[in-house]
Amino acid sequence: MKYAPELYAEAFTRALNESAAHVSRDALVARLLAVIEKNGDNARKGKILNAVRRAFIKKRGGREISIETARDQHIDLGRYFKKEDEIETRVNPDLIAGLRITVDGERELDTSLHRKLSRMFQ
Amino acid sequence: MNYDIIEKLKKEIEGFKDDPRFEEVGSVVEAGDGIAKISGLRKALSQELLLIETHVGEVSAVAFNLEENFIGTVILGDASAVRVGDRVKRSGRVLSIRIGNEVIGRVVSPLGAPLDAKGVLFERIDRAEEYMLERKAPSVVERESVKTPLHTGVKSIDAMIPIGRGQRELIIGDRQTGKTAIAIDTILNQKQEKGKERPICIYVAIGQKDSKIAKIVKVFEEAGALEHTVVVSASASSSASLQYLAPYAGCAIGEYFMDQGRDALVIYDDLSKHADAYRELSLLLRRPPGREAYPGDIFYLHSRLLERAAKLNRENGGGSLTALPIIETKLGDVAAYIPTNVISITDGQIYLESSLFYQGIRPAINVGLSVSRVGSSAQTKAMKKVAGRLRLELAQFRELQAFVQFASDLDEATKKRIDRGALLTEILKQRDREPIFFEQAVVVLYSALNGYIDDIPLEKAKRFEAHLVDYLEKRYRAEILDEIQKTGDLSEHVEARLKEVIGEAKGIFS
Repeated sequence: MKYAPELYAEAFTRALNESAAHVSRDALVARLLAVIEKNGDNARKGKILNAVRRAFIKKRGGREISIETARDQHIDLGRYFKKEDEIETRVNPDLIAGLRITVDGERELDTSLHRKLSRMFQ
Repeated sequence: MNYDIIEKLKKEIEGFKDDPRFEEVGSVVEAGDGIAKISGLRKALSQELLLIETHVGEVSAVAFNLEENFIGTVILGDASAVRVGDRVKRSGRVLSIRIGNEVIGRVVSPLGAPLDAKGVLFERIDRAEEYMLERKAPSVVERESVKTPLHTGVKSIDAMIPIGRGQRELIIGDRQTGKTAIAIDTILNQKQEKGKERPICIYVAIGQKDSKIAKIVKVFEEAGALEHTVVVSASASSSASLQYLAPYAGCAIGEYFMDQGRDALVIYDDLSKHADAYRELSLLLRRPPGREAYPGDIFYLHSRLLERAAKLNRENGGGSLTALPIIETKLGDVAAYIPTNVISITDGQIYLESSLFYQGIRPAINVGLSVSRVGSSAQTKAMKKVAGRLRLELAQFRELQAFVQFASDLDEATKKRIDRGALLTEILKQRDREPIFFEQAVVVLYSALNGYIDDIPLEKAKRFEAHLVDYLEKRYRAEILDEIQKTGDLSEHVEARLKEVIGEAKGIFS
């Protein structure tokens, strides 16, 4: 039986809440990995752990922010985000110039030159 | 020259305004077999066009399944370019096709792209209109009853299974029984339709061989029928998604002309393959399979398509859209799932039988099982007057024919009936791509049904038919044929003259 990564994440966070008193966090993580293996979902382990990470960020009231820049440079955008947010930055040369910010993988602000050029030649 | 181009480009760049703002975005989490699963885009609409940003450019996809965490989409472009992780954006549009008068005479894909190497479809894009592929059928108050005939040029159909403009008549039969041939003849016949407005014909090829489609286009071209025809092609090599969309695109083209107050005829060749394409998509999207593995909404798939055929009332322009869907049966099984569905949706069916085909009776129409539920009110008076008895005579002939296989002695009356039936069967035979004028069909059937050619030997019947038509065309076109064509009736005066002319023609026939 295959379960969606979101279901694993939901079940794990609930288990963590409900059994925090008598089971350690590390033991629960080990049990999650064992369940994933038992269900034959090892190939999707990455996706499941990502979903768990997302669930944690959501639980603490934060957002998953991805900032892509065309070149490796330091841009301080901290003041635009909350301290609960998890910010990940990476270099994406495909953007040519500018940056792209994605929030929770569902909303994005694209100010890259790549977008401008593709819009211009649409 | 170069300077002009550079200046133009410079102005475009200078004048380009970009206003980046937060947009919804999703990503491909699974892709394969022309299907992509997308996460994100929670506000996407069902049937919305989504744009996947692949490494080779934008590829469009249609949102089919809106699930809790994912959207199941059907990829419309190059599915091999879509990779897991590709970004997806909403377009805010549902699937539509650009239509204008320039589309007539062209071969297009279900998405409106030209496939005939005759250049761009629209010289001026503002002259084309966007028509949604999925559209609500005209309501009851917008319609009126079918009353204008749509002649197919096939004697047996025009006489016994008449089709009216705005009707939905199914052509059903096994493979290689002449289903497409009837559809082609109907399109060819519209060229010779006089007095009434010539309908725009749309031939939708679904899952056909490319060679067959090319052959059909050539037939239209050679007969000059492409001047009033549009071919929508989703061949066997096209993806299941394009095969699924093809009839809706054809219907949208027909609706464009109907909305302009014109008559249109759309042929779906064939809906069995359409149902198969939809089954393939549904199974890949993991929708629960039902009978014969078709999804639960397979009836709605065809009913919503065929319900769009209509005859609009005068307040709505008075246009019409006639639909001739084709269904291929297996071993003559009309009680299978898809055939029964489509039979129940349409206003009648033309049933073609392999056994008749192999006996040489072509078109191989089984008159007993074929029916037109609304067409008789659209039939011309002349044809009604002449062919009223035809169905009954043929039914009696078939019954007697079965009986005489066991009887040795026959009385004179029975023998006469059998001979008449055989003669009528012979007269109703017709070669492919030779549709005849309805007035010619009227005189031929008149002569056969009233016993004027009973004394002609059966083997000479077809020759006499050609002779009679030729004789009338050459000497009595204005007096008899034009009169029938103009009035749509066989007046007493014309009938009397026709009797004399048949006698004359017989006199010089050898």
